[in-house]
Amino acid sequence: MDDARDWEVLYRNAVPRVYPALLATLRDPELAEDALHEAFAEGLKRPPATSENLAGWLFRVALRRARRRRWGFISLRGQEKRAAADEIGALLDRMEAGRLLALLTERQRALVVAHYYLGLTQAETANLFGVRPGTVSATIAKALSRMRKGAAHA
Amino acid sequence: MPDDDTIGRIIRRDLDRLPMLPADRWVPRAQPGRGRLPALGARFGRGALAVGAAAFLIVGALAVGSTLRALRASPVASDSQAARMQPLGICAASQDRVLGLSGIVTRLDRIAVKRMTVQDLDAGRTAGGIPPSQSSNALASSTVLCVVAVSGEIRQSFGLLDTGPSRWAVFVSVAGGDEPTISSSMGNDADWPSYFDALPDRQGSPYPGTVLEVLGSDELKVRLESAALSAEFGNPVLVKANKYTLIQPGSSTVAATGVQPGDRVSIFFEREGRNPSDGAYPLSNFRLTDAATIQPPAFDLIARGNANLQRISDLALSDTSAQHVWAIVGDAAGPPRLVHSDDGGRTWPKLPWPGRGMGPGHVAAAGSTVLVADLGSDTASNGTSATGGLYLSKDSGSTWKQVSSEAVRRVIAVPFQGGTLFLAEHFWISRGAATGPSRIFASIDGETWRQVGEVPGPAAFGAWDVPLVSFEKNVPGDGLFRIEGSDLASLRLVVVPGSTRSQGFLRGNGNDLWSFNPGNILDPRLSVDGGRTWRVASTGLIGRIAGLFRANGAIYALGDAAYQWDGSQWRAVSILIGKAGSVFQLGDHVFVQDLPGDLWRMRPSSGSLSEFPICPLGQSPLLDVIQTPALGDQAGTGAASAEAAFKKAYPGVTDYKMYEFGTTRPYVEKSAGPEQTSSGPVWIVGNGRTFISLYIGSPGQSSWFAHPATFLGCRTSQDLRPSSPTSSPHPDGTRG
Repeated sequence: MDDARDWEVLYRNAVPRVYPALLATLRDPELAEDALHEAFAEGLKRPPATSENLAGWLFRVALRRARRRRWGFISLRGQEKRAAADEIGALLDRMEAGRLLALLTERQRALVVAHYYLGLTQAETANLFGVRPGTVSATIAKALSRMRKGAAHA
Repeated sequence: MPDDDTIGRIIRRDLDRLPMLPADRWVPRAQPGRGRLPALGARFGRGALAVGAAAFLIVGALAVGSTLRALRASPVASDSQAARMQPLGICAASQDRVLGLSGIVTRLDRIAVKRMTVQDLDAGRTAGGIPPSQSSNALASSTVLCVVAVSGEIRQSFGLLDTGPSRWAVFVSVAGGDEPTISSSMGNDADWPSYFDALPDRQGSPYPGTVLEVLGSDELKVRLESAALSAEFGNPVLVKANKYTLIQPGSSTVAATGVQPGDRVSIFFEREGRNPSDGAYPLSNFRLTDAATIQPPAFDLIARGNANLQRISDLALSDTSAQHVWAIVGDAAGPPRLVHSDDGGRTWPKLPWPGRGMGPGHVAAAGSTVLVADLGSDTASNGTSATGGLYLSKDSGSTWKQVSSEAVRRVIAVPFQGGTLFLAEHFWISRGAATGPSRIFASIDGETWRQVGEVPGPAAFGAWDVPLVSFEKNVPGDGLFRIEGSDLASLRLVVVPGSTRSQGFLRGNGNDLWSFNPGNILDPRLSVDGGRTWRVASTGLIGRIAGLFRANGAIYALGDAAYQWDGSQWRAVSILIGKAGSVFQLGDHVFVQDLPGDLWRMRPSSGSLSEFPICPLGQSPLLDVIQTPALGDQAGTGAASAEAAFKKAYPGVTDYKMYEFGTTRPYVEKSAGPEQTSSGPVWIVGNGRTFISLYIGSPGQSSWFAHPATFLGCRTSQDLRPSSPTSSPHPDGTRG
């Protein structure tokens, strides 16, 4: 990456992949958008060393920001924004994947989405999230088990 | 109980259907008065600060989270044009929806441009029963606009309600500037926005002239007919289109393609705003000729913004299922990677890669057999390598075994005697000298290889569909070798007497053979005598060309613009696609990766769906999809599975045809709400007039399933709105 414009190009290429991943994980469009913007800003200030796994990098940074933001600003959210979140929630509930992911904790959702939607290997996911590969493997296995049981009882 | 692969497939399928954030909200908006960047760190370098200062005015404020929301609500106010950048907002009428700030024109039948003021546009919309745009809030009523109307098939880029393709769209931008489209509206009520015809066209003075030269897809040199104008503008005058940048994709391709040297045109350009660097006047617009109608072949945008798909260097397609595609991807930032799509190119998960050399270099495939060459990082002078080799997978890339430990530079699959022949080049590097001869090996099954000959230098294969081998080294003598033999034991390279060496090949009409260097194409060459003699065939090509492809018996060239070979020269044609970065022809299938990295695939040339339109354009089929039990088989192709399932369900029906509905056309699942597109192919079975059944494909990692579906009727976009939840079922199963 040579300059800020390059960063924006790379970022824009990744957004169509990262935003749905954030929506599915956070189930809140406002929060997802804010988090995405903050990841963009983070990349301007401290760009990743390589464009490899850029979508994964943005996803991880955005999730981290979303967690901070959720605690700081939840009380400021207006009715309109809650309605947007409800709309996305309803849409996800109509989707098979949304119903399955809803059975998981947010952390499980994040790892499952990173692996199955963003296409990261378990090793890449572990590297991005700063955990051991075994932790990713165990978390995904537990999440899959929960989703399989949920699907069987649906 | 779904298995893990199925869960992964469901996640990929459904998350791709989630509403996308509108493009104007991908980055935070600038805040008025802020123009300072924080230190960006060494990676961006000093020069980047100036670029960044222009592009990102807000970054200094981003550390404070709450600022973001305030910024998003603020218009860009960086210069005198700032107020004009305020979006027009949403105005919705029954058949006129402003869906976002841009649309994707997937088929262009007609395009027209007018120039008018904000006041003109609002008055015209009101007279046509369309609510006035909210532009007057942000723009002075006298601001001159460029209003572009298109008809064909237009999809919104983003937005919560993806209600399927529209038949017309109107894009509005401020005339005379480079700002993107500030408003777009789309509708399905007619083939053309009737209110557009009633709008005034305040072109000012049209300047008639003759096109001298098309310098690029958006740049023309025109000789003006009025001598009196020469003193003011110069003659000839250079004009550059700048108004179609958000009529995606390949906006500027839309603008100038179809204009030929010698055409008489009317130029409407801005007197002010001449570019000091190249002296070009910005076009307000120029009158488009009839040739600007988009022509077949049509391409579908199948993968957009996929981070796993950056810079495809090689592509392979299964010869038994057009849904299975393998790609070598990667840029300078990292080692090459092998990715695989089992849904025709829409999604591209990574594949495991066992190699220890420089990474996957080339890929070839036949059925579920995949071969990947790795040159290795320690190639010795005799061609051996501890890290390189040729790797074989019999299960589409899930597991691998090494079948050669020599340095393999390239592997390809070519059609041969009704089947597929793999050819591999074992690269022999001579120390201290130019590259030595390359040994050519052949295999039928990918496992058993036999050397069939040798070429003097690095090999140039008959890519894609021509079993010819040439070489890059400039040595005297014959330059082409033909593959002869009936089985592996008798295969050998036979020189083509009197031939001259060449690079990649593409079969043309009859005995025509095209030669070019894929990825570095400048002058395509044509041979009409089987490769013995070649002549440069570049007349009419302008600017960068990414590659050639063949469709419906014609040869096309793609780059910044599109061209068709007319037998003596290249003629500009309009193929609606992003500016091409690389072109891959695999049998009759053509893939194009455009410069931003989006992947396009040529629509099947049969066009059979047009003889059996399941729903009128602008409406979507309402389906009752039976999710279980899934029909299909593990090894069959999508069509075979769907057809087998149909025969089983309708044993007495013999008068039927299969129609590929495609993966990008939307449909509505009964009571499911928003439109969806299948992650696999959708097959319609009918007899050309009457719909009989339909199958939704669900490609998995190594299997493909067909879900039968019942066709309930067609739904318009309006039907999808919560206020009008009813549908119009057709009990007899025929389309409405």
